[in-house]
Amino acid sequence: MRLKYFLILISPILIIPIVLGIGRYSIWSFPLTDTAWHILFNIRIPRILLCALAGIALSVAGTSLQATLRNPLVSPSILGLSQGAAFGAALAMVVLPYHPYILPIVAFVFGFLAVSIACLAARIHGEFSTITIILGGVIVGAVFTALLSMIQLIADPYRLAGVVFWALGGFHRASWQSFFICAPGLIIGLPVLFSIRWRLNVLSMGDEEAKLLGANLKRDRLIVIISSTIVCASVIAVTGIIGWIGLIIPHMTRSLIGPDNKYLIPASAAFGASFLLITDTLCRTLFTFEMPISVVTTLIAAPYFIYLLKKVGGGWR
Amino acid sequence: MIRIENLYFKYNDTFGLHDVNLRIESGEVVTLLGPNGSGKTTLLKCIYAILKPKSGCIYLDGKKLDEFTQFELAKTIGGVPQDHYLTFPYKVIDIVVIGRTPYLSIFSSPSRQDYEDAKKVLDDLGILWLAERPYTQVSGGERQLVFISRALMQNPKALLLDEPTMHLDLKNRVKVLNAIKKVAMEKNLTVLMTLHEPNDAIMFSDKIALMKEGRIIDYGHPNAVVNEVNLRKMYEMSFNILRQDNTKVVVYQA
Repeated sequence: MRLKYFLILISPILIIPIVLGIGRYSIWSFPLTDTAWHILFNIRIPRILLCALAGIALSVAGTSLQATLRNPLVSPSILGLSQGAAFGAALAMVVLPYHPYILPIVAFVFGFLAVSIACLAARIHGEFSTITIILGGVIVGAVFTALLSMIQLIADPYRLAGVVFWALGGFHRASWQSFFICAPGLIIGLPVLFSIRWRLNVLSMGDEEAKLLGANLKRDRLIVIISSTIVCASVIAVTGIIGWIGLIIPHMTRSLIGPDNKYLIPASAAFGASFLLITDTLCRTLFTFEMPISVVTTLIAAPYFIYLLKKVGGGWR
Repeated sequence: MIRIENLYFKYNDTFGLHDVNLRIESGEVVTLLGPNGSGKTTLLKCIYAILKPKSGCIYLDGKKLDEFTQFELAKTIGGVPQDHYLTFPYKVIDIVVIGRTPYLSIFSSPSRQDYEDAKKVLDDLGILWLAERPYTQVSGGERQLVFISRALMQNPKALLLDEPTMHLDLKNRVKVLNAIKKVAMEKNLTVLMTLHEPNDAIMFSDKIALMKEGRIIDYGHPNAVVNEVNLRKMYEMSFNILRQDNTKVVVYQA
């Protein structure tokens, strides 16, 4: 297990230099030409950094939420985050004037808003149970999907294409600008999730037991949900919706190194980063056009996920 | 150690507990015996501070329960709840070390010493060989011992166990109860547990509290409180009580 854990942790560091050199335009020349330098520094490096960060953020948030809500089916999108962000982005594209910062900020705000509404809806007598939070998220997600449909209906065809394409998600818009837009949320949220990671084991024992064990359940759970939401919303705001990562990476990592969140959180961060780096490289190199990354992640992950289910019950049985 | 005075608890409109008074001395093993719905679990949950009583007082070590913070309480009483829904297949040692939560801040993890202590507790209960196994795959009796180990890691003064013998066969029932009695003796722990089998209660407890419809109808030494009259009152069935080597054996009539 130790060797496996170590290999997973260093995998992104090994992968980054390789994927940096792969692409439509061959940058291999010495010395680097001006074009190669431009492509490397202004296109590939920000894209790869954003990709790695997105992998870390979505996987860590997914792992944390699965443990806190003690449900292996939970991912950031089940709390209404993706749907809220997609609505926010559509709203910005169709209604608001264009500005590079407006869209991601509005997407972030609505993603955050959706989760907040879900949590408020789930509050009964000042406490929320895991099940009501998940139900609240599903309901709020449905509402935002309905609102998104309304916007799509009134949008003019050119903007409609933008709305649909945004929802597919991807790293084609990656730039230093998007990197810096998403960074503050990650700088706030990720350290919190990393340092609270052992407490996730306690929270996953269930509401009553966590209280018996002396955990401040309400506070701890809120910290996890808020941090996960900030982290995910920051990523989704600049990349669009990248499905599946928050759901499957935790499972894949868990089946490799076990469920102890002390190790699972760092490992799923590294595994998520590696996974997204590889799939994004495939997306941009496999065909002459760029494949939407959600399509590729799903096509790669689904067979592997089925294999895991057959072999180890998804690593949680 | 545990003192309960005039405790009332209400579930919506029906009474869950009615004027409960109980005094448990330090180091005593006390069993709550009574039919389903007689308020045993409710009483335990009031002591855990998971349920808030309508009126009355609970004192732990002479201090009012309201004055305990959550982690002070977790350092004073360790609990094994009735239901545990299995989720992720944590290793047994990882489950046991979770008992250290009240001693750790929200952003820290257990130390190497904590893991060593967890192993020692598992060894005391004779299940050290399970340490690396997923706790989802051990037997029901072993899992009870795992949860008792986790509660012991809290270094509590009292142990509260809600039906520790649920779903267990005879052999495992005796094994778990023996383990409880052993740790209670060795660590001078106060134990309050709920059981369903009168003979287990007689054999393994210093005192028995009989419960019926949210009231404690009798409390005292097993030989004093377990008799035909009390049992019939509780279960509304007929019983014969035999004597064997100074202990009572309860036989019910089908």
